[in-house]
Formats: sequence, structure tokens, C-alpha cells
Amino acid sequence: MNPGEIISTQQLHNLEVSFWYPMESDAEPLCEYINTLSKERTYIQLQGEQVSLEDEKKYLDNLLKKIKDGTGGSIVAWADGQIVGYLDLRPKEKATRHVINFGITVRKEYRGKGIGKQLILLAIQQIRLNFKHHKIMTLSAHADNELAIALYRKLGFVQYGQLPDGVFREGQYHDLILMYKKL
Amino acid sequence: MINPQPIFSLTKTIAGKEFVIRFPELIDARQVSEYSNEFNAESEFTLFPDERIDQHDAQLYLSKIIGRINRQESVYLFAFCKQASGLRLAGRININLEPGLQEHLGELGISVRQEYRNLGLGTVLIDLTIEVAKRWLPNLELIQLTTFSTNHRALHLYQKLGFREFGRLPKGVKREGQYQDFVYMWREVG
Repeated sequence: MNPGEIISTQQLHNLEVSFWYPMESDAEPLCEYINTLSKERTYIQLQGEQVSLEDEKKYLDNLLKKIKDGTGGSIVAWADGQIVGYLDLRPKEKATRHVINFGITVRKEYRGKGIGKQLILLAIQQIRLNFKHHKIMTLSAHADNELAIALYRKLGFVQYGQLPDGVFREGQYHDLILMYKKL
Repeated sequence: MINPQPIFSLTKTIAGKEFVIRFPELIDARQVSEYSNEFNAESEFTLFPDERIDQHDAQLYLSKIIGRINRQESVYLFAFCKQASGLRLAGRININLEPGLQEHLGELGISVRQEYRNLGLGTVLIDLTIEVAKRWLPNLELIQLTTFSTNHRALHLYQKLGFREFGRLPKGVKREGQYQDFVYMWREVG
């Protein structure tokens, strides 16, 4: 794995989408992307707070180190000159080092085109190639995020847990759904 | 600047042994290093089987967790057993608040040193930590924890204290070449 390495380019609903490992020049686009998602108050940790470019650069520096030494990774989906999706890989360590957790987001205007699905399929492929000792993929989803949960099911993820009221978003409690897939 | 860390220390007799239970301090570095290394080498249920830390690592760890306590993101308690030679670290427990959309949720972690197991120290530590957390982490509503499916003693203790299983990741944790299920439990702070 190398920063900036293109993993795949695909036509998805007449949209050309490129998928690559993040590189240094992704700092500004990533910062814009995460701040746009944050304003949307979607199913992510950030709910309106804005990330500074300086903090985004720190995050990216750390991530690029992990990509180079093979201890972490992420996939950027790029179309129309901007980031349209992102998958974050979080390999676990020590007694749980065969488990790899991940999270995905897709830019609002680009949902429903299969970008999330491609991100997950590419992640599975990349884990098999580059994280060979990782045998189990895990994720968590808000119970009311039905579209995402349906996609995960379709891709072979199975529920292994449900924490009642595990997340609190916009004044409401939702269960947190835990899912996994064996590789 | 006023240190906002609450002054908390109590002495409790458990199974005839006297324990001092208090918040961690930087001077605990040597004990933390010894305790961690012994625990990670010995325990069947450690998450960090190969990890060894020196006194310097322990100091960094302590300054990090004291920072978390001061920012009201965590409660950590250390239990020391009173011995003729002085105080000996016997058990550790913490509740860490999750960030963002899970600020009402805390993750509990606990360990007890080999020679102090089966005395009831774990029960005392969990009850006490939840009481302290009610005051020190006012947003805390739910507590979750994870354990190995073969750690029957721990599972029994958690059930007794009101924790219920909400998830089980098949083969989610590996110890000495053997996969075991990873069990997720929760309870309300109450």
C-alpha cells in the first residue's frame, strides 16, 4: 500500500469514480468533505463541529504513516473533482488483532449510486491482500440507518449485537447495531 | 490553577485484608509497570498478552489518564493492599466516556492481581466506581464492557452486578492460539 495509489476506477451510474489510498494533497478535500458531512448531522460522530485544516493535516500525517507501515488504511472515493466517499479501516491489535473495524460515509448528493458498496468490496479485497492476519470485519450502525444496514446485510454482514439506546443523536436515543463478516 | 481532581480515598477491609482505594497518582508509575507486566504475562484474559511497559511508559500512561480524569472524561480507581512492606497495587478499574454521539456511554475495564482474586475485590471496585462515576461523569447513563466467553468468573460477577449480554462476536478474541467468543455486556448506571 502506498499513499495515492489508485485501487480502481469505475463507472457508477454514468459517474466516473476513482478509488485510492489517501495522499498528502487530500488534506484540503478531506477537510471540506468531513465538514460538509458534519453540517449535515448524519450518522457520524461530528454533529456540526468544524475540523480545522491543521487538525485534518495531523490526522492525515498519522494515517499516511500507518498506510506506509501497513498498520492502517483508508480508501478515498473521488468524482467530479471532490471526495464523494470515504472508508476508514481500523485494524485492532494484540488479542483482537484478527479483527478489523471500519466505517464508511458517502457525500449526500452521491448516495444511491453504489459508491458505498464499491468501497466495502474494495476494502474486502484490500484486507485480503494487505492485512492477511485479519479474518473478521466489524462495523457499527445506528438502528435507524436502515439503508446502510440493508447494504451491509446484502454484502454478507451479520448482526452480532444490539446495544439499547447506544447512541444519542439530535435529541433522540437509537440502538447501536453491531455487525461482522468473516473473510 | 486549581486541580479539579476530586480528593478521593477510602480504606476498606475485604476478606480480612485492608485496602486503600483512590484515584491514580504519578508516583504510582513503578507499581503500574510491575502490575501490568505481571498481569499481561500471567492472565489468561488479558487483551495485551505481549505488552511490557517500563516505568517511563507507565508515567506517560498515568499523566494521560490523570488528564482524562481532570477533564471529567474518565474515572480510574486503584486498590492497594496494605502490607508490612507498604502499599501493593492489587486491582485497577476505570470507566471511560465514549466521544461524540455516545457521551452517555462509558466503557468499563477492570483487572485484579492474581493473589487478590476471589476475595470480592472486583465487586467492591465496580460498585464503588459506579458510585463515583455518578457524581464525576454526570452525563453517564449506560456502562458497557467486554469479556472473553471462557472467563466464567468475570461473566458471573458482571451478571450479579446487573450487566446483561447485548452482543457476542464469534471468535472475536484470540489467546494462545485459541479463538474465543468476545462477549459484550451493558447495564444502566441506575
